[in-house]
Amino acid sequence: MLEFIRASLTYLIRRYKAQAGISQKQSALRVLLHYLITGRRRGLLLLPKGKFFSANRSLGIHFSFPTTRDGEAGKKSETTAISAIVRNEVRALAKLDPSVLSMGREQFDKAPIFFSDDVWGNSGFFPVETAKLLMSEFDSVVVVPHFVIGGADKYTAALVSALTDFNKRVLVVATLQESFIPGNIAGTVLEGYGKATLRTWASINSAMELREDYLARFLHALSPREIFVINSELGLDMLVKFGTALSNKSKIYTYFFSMDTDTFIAQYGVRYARILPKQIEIASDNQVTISKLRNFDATNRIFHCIPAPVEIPHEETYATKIETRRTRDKTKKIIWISRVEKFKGTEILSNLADELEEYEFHVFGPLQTESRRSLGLRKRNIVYKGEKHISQIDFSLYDCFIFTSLFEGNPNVVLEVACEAIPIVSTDVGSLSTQFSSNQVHFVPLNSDPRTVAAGFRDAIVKLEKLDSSQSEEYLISLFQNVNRNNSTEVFHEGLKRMIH
Amino acid sequence: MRLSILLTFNSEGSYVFATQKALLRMIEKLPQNFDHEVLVALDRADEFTTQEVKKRFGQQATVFVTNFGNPGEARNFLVDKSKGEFISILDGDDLWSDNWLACALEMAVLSPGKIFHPEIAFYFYESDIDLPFARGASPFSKSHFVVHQANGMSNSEHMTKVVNFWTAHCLASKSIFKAIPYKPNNRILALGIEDWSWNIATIGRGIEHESVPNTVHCIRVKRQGSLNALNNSEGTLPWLE
Repeated sequence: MLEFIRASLTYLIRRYKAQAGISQKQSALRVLLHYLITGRRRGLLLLPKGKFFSANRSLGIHFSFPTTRDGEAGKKSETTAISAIVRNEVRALAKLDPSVLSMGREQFDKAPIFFSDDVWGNSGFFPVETAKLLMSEFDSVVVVPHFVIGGADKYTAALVSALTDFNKRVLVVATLQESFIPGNIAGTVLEGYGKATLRTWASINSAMELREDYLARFLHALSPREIFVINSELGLDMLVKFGTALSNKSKIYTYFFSMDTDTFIAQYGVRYARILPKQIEIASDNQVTISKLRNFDATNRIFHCIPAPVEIPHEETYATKIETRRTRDKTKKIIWISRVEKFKGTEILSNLADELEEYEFHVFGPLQTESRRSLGLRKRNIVYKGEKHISQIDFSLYDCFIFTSLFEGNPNVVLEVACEAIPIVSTDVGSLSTQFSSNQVHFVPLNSDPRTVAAGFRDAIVKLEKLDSSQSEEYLISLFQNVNRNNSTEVFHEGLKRMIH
Repeated sequence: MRLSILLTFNSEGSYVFATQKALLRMIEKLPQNFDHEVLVALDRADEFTTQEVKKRFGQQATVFVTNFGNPGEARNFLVDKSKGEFISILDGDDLWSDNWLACALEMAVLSPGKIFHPEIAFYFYESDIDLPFARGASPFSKSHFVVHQANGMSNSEHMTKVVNFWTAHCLASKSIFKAIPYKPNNRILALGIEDWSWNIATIGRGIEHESVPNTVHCIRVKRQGSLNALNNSEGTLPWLE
């Protein structure tokens, strides 16, 4: 019985998708939302009219989803929208060309009626919101999947902040986020978005199907000076097809932060970089990714490397942090900051905790879907400290910061921690070793055996312990100068200006 | 006063017969005091279409063989060749109610600054024939009506850039077509869609589009060779100016 109900519901949803022009890939929830938002207004019936019939010597049931305009206030009803004159003329024309009535005379009398100005129902746009945005003028449009998720979004927020600092009017469109309410967790928005106009694509686009042509039309109509597409699959699909047309009015940039294939999914650069029209310029926050992209580019495309900005403390503040470290004893405490998931090297951390039993490891970062137990982090000397902003952590309590990640572009957290006057031991991941020398960041080579990598971390930490304070301070100052030179807001602004001007 | 009726053909083949008959029905309804001319462009037309057009239209139309490869430029060419004060643009594989030209002309004479379109478009899918049906009806058939209404939305300069409210079929003063010619398709720039671009350009100049009550335009939706599908697959967008 349950199987019968499930099959019936699946059938109804499939039929509704076909009737409403929704992709068969969309979830049942989105179909229900479509019906509530758009389908009812268009007069689509979620529950079909069923009729039994016999045909070809068998009995069957035939469902139809009649379309009526009756529910729509202010619009003509079906009976008056098409006059008898018009219906008779179509029938007369069918005498010249019978294919006019391919649908059959009986069906013709019930043919669906749409209104060309029913932008909401037929054309995939919420008219009021769309018109309001089209009447505004934007210099830059940034297309992202979400307002806030991870490191790439921090970079995007910095980009948006810089553009608004350049006095540009910026629109940020989130293509996957359904809604956001400032104040709740899902609606949390990074500070950098402050002066920009934020919209979800769902608030502009009434079609439940994520269609690249609708996004292209919208951006084309806006014709901003610059379009940035960052990690939005819909945006990238749109650029593949409509990038050439859009580049007539706008300069278009897309960012790829990594070309890794060792993760749960290959990065977007692997999939899109070679198929984007050549007018689209590609940027990254790190040189390693740019080199890989250049290697397989055959279009003479323009590439830009603009490292991520971090908040650089004043030199005196940094000197005070070093002074604090000089005056206190070793604490035998080590700090680890990242999303708590296996791709961030939790297995290495677990093995290292076994190797250095006398140390306490404090873990900061958001938990993901895996439990700490399954990640091997339920240990006597591993303490989970929750999610905290770096500015809220007292780094002087720790002997060193370890970064065990297995894949990265140019990890933001390492750049931020580099401003906290604490020695860093990290896997040789992403582009870190192209920016930092082995004295500034103590690198551990990655391999497939977490125990070997953990042993490398152990050796590096023991070596750090043996450094005298003047040598240690020299390394920390050199680390700070490196970040100051490459990752200040000023350097980021200069790089961005060079790219867009 | 004269009405110039402009048609473009490319690969319509045997559809030419019905088109010519529908055109004759419309011409019969034209007011007596109006002269008319029919100008046809065979734009990179295939051999069969060329033969058919010459056979069916030879007596009543001036036929030009052109090599533009897109309907916009072919229409501009015909506009230049036309002698009428009013022009009607028609597609070679569609059909129209017999009152279309007469009613539209009547309104255009009264409002020469506007562009007129049929009120109703009936999109007929030949593929509807093949569908399974019961009791004379199929839930899968796609043929449908679209009602065109002139209002703030369909004449909005902003919204017409994201939605093409009006079909290519229209009737207006020649001066409008001369002032705002159709833009050619440019595959390198991926810009084109001549009718949408023209609607954007005209609405942008403040020229209102209006529908003519009780007129219908039957648009053939083919399984293959649809210009809309081609434009979408090639990533073409309309010209904005």
